[in-house]
Amino acid sequence: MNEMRTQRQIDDATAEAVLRGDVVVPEFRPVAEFVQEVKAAGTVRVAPSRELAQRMATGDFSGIEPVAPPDSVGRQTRRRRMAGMGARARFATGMAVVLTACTGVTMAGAWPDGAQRTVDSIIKTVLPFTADERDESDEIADDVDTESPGVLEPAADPEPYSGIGRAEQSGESGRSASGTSEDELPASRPSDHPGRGDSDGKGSPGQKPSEHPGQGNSNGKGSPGQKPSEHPGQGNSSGQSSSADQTGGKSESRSAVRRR
Amino acid sequence: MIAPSVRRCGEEDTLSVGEEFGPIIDAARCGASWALERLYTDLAPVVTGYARLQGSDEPDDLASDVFLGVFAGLAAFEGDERQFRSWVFTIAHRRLVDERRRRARRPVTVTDRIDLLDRRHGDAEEDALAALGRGRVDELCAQLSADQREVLLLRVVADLTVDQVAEVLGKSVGAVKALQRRGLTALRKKILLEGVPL
Repeated sequence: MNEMRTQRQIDDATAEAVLRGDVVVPEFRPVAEFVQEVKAAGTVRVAPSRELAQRMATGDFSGIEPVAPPDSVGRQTRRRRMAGMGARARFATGMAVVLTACTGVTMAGAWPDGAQRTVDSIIKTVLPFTADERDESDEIADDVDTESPGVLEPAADPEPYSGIGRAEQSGESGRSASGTSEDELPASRPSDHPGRGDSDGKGSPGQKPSEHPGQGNSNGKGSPGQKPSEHPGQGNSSGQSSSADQTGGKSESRSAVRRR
Repeated sequence: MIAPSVRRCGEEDTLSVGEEFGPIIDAARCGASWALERLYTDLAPVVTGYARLQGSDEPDDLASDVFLGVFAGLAAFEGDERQFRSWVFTIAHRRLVDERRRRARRPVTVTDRIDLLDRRHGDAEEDALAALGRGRVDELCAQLSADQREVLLLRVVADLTVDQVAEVLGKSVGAVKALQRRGLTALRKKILLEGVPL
């Protein structure tokens, strides 16, 4: 039984060896020999047809339809594959191509105004992102943070944040806060949003607590700017970043929508 | 032209043009008859053998037709000898498909294998033995499925790589490997079952 099974199986390596004419185990020798006989079929010299002989002699092949060069062979293969598809498959493929192209154009904002709004609204309903601003992904990331369980904890004990929040408001900026948060939140946020830190100008993690209040709270350290009521808006009151302000506003409204 | 590292085992005898391929193809593009002759001499036997084992009614004519198309489109061709070979067999494969379609529309009744008797090289005994050998090869190849036969002939006769065969047939590499495995397994089984003398 085992012998029968091994006789039926041939793996890729053996197949390659047999096709190349390499030495193979006796079991596969009959096939290897036959392959060599097949190979010999391509050694018989043939005379060209009269037309070909004449044209080869003159080098003139005008009037004969040239065959597509190898570069376009792939394209033709795709065309052939499409030709072999059913009507539904062709329709589905076509729609996928059109939708992908439309999405790309929308994301690039290349439609005329009215069309851009219309298509964008359609895409918004279908896809989990919009073509409005490039920073949207960051906003969504912030949004996720605001919804973390840590957001709710300070409400029970707002004291630790009040003083620090005042310090921020008084213009000490996030730098003092950054010191605290940097020490206490060493690794997570700065690496998550390196671009944000740079765009703040100060590049200090002090911005981070104001932008990600949830995270600070989840640590329970009470670092400045982590106060939920302050949110990003208060952090921005120190005049560090206006974009963060917008971000905060949007994330608030988004989180509100999500809660709903 | 082709780096030795890319060459496969046993490739030397199949890429007969070798390093001269570049100048030859350039001359052939300009219509130099010696270059066209060289390309034809190099590949026509293989194309004819492939067409014959694929069951073509007129393999010689098919090969000539293939080379007419190839030489007419030579100006647009860019690549090395292996790519040229792949291109030639892509065309040969298409011509075969066309021929099968024509045959399906207008079936031809073949009463005898005339080609077995039609080869005359001067030595009757040699011709007869060669014809017998060809007959056996033809017979066994004809017992394979069309897909398996196509893959095996392109691998063995045309000496194309798995990737090239996949490109010629418009199949995936995995599918080609599977077909060649199955084809060889089927061949082996048939050889053993039919008690073909080895």
